[in-house]
Amino acid sequence: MQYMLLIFDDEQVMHNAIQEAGFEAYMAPWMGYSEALQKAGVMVSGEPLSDGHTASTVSVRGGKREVQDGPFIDSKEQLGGFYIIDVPNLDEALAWAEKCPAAPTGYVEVRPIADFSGA
Amino acid sequence: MSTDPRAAAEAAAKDSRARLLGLLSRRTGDLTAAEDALSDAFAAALQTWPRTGVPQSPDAWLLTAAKRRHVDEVRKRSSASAGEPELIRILTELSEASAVDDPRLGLLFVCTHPAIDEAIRAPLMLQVVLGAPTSTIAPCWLMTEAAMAQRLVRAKKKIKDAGIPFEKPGEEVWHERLTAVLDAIYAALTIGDQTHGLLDEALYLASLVHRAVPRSAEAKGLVALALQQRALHPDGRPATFLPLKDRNPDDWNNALIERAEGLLRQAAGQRQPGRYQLEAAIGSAHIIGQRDGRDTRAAVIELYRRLLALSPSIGGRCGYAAALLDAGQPKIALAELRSIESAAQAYQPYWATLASIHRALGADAEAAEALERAIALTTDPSVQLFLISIRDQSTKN
Repeated sequence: MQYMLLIFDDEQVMHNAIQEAGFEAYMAPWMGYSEALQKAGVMVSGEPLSDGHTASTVSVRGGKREVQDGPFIDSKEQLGGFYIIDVPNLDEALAWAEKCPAAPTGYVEVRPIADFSGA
Repeated sequence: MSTDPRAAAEAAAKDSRARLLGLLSRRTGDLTAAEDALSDAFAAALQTWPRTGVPQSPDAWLLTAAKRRHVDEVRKRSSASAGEPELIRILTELSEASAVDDPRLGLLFVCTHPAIDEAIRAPLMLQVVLGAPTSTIAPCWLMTEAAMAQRLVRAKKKIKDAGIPFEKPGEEVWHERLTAVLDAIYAALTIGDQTHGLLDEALYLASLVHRAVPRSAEAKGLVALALQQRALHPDGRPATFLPLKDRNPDDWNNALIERAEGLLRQAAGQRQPGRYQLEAAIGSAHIIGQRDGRDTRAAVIELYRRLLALSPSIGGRCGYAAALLDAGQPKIALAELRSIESAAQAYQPYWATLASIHRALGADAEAAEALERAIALTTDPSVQLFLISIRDQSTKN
């Protein structure tokens, strides 16, 4: 089964960490995590996202496009990146989420990729 | 234990149904479909077995009945849904293979998975493992049948759609997951104790875990707790709650009490103390004290101290205060109770215990006020009747 790990963290915490330790030191655990996912053969894809303030949110109402400045959900913790992994079941997905470098400070939402083939 | 053929048939049918449900859902990952597949066969077994006796292999009987029904179903329909032939194939395979380990344990782990809302775990377990109908479960949690049904459906859908595995959890999370199973059974046990009687169900589930995980001392403690409750209510619960000290030990089931004692001794030998063992030990001290006319009050106080050190809770603190009061130390009891005052405002036993302490200290006005709070907070009619009888007595005096 494929699961998406949606990574939510406080952007300010991330920027502070980069300031203190430098970009490479901040990135090291993320590189290590991605590598571990790859080595285990479970990585499908994964990308970091730019800060929430760069987001634009689009909706169409009455045929008219509306664009809002900022992310759809405006909270202290922002969606900062994602992984898609392919593992046998939820327990293994949860175990990978637990190892994510953001887990000790932020939140990792684990969502199955919808499968309509058997429906 | 029972020689009643109807009860024996029902027990065997439930046992077998749960085992097969575990096997089936492990293969398909779909609880609802597995329940559907077995429901008619289970109903047929409940009708047939009391007359014919329990078949030699109950599992094979149920599987064959389930398979026959689904083959008919497929034949009847012009276009069979894609899932049916697959289901028949699995049912056939299962009836050929002999089950080695107990898949019911897997069901318990699924129902109490950390990804399932804690509040629905015990109801889910009762329905999935025991086949308890929603109409029995809902009132125990003070919910309407429709609301409970909706929550159960949602939980089963989550199990399927999120890919929660039907395997035993790995070593690294084993303890935490087993604790969640025991906690859910305890919830069913204490709910049963308060309202409509899920005692037998909780006892069955606790015994199931105990047999499947004999190295768990806490599972033994939980079985002992359930046995004690069963022993004290051999004829079901009375309309008005009666405190232990006012009951007649001649009415109790001594065989069950002794079984609980034996389990507690075994558990103590394992040297893995835990909350349920200590609660059962407290129960044991009360029961044996009352039955044999022994003064066990000091032992109860000591056990509460150990319980609070291991697993502090508002309920434990109230019990400790009541034990201190019982031992003639109302002032210390009051101080203990005051320490949880802000956290326990909506907790009925807090106010009931406070009322008893105030009464012992001669503070009648405070006692009356606390008793009113307790009566207002009680959801269990039998406890409410009991508290009202105390109020009526004290206003007469």
